[in-house]
Amino acid sequence: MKQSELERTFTESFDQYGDAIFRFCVFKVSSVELAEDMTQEVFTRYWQYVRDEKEMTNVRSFLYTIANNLAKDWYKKKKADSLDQKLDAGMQLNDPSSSPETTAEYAEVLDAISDMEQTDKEVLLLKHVEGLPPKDIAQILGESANTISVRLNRATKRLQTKLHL
Amino acid sequence: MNSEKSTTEYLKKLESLKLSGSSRTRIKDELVEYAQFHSVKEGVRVGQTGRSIEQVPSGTSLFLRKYTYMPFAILLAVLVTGGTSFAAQGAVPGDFLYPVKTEVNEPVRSAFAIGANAEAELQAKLVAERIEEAEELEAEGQLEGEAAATLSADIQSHVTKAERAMTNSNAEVRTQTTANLSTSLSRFNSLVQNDTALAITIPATYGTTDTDVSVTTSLLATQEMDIDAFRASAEARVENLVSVVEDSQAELSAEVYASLTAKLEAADELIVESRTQAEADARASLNEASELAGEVESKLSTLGTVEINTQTGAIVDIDFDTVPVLELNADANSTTANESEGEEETETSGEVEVDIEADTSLEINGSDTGVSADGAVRSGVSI
Repeated sequence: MKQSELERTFTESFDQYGDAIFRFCVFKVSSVELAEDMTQEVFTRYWQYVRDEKEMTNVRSFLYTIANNLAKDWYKKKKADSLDQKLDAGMQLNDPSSSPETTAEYAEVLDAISDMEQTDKEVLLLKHVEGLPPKDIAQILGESANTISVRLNRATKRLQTKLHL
Repeated sequence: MNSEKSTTEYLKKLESLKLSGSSRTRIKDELVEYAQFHSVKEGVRVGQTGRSIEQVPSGTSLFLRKYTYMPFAILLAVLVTGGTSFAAQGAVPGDFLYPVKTEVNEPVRSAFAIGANAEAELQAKLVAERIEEAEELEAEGQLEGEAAATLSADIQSHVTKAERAMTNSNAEVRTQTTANLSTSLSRFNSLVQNDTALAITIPATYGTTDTDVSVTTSLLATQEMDIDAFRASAEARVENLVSVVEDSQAELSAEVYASLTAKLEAADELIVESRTQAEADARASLNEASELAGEVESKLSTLGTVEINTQTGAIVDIDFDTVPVLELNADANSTTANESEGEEETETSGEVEVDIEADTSLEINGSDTGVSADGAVRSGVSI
């Protein structure tokens, strides 16, 4: 395949999955700024695979897997340089370019789930927002499908209790 | 189910969490730029298929190392293949291991036979071995067809090699070798008398002597050699060496010069002593003196390319610019000289090769009953 064709495939993938990966990263690192950098890094690594024309059965799962691995690295590093980064305090989603209405819409949900476990939040996101099947979620997060199903079930129940649905 | 659906609906609001327009444009531009820089055909390749320019094929360095390690490689090959090699020693034509014997063992022995004398003797020995094989086959009634033809051709080739070596060897070795060859060849010819095509012509110069007679004659000849003539030749040899060493003093290290001079002085003393001794003692002294001279000659021939007077066997000159070997361990060298002295007092070989090989040849000769017996006979002669 030629460079131009590969480039087109590459940018199409970004248009298609960029936002989803960004959301996943936001959930993982709780920072818009950091999530943007991570998203870019995910696609940078993805390009290296595209360029070598390596086979990929599922681009979306592949991108999530890279993101998940980057997040793991980021956690390790964060533990290492610890105290001065207090991003854990909560989502810092003050993106100046977003309109107040949209921000309000997702901010409410984020606020609702903010005290939930990280593991619960990410499965809820991948299942309900991105619509991924449990099998894919399991693969991305490096867990067994069974674990993910159980975790998803419990997380959903907890959220419902919280929201009185 | 309803609650499940409403949960999804509630969480779907998160879909509005997206990259902002400005960030999206920036990231996309940077990604495209990255993709173009790290393009398919050129640019920095990372990952498994990437190869940097520093990755030089490893063969290059092997090429350089090939020569440095060659003696060790040979040694290793001998050690490693020793078992097969040893097993092959008893093989006769038609045996599975026979090619190992002729194609591996014998060229190795030949490579370790340093100098024309040793080479001539070895070739004669190999001819004798072929004859023994022929007799073994004959006893089994199998001396025919291909095996016989192989032997005949092989013998012919060894005879040729022996003759070539003999042109540079000294008189005694030549006499003995031709006698041995002559005996061997007549034995072979009598074995294959039914098939004249296989018979090998014995050169007229070989004479028709029987080995034992020939050896005895040759021994008697040396034993009967006049004591004065022997002393004169030893004296001339030592004197010549003294002048060669003196001439080369500038080229030699102080240590080597001292050791050579000491040996020559000792030899000179022995010769002087021999004048006042009874004949038997005098012969012993002269033999010792010759041995010392031989050591000096061997040492000199490792230091440079030695020019030899083919008539007398004396060293005429040494070219130190074309040193055939690295500086040698003095001990190893003197051992070599002592051992090789068994061959003949006038060592005329100009082809001393790497010392490691010379040293190893001792072991091979030592384990070779034929040669050691041969050496014993002659050293017992005590000219």
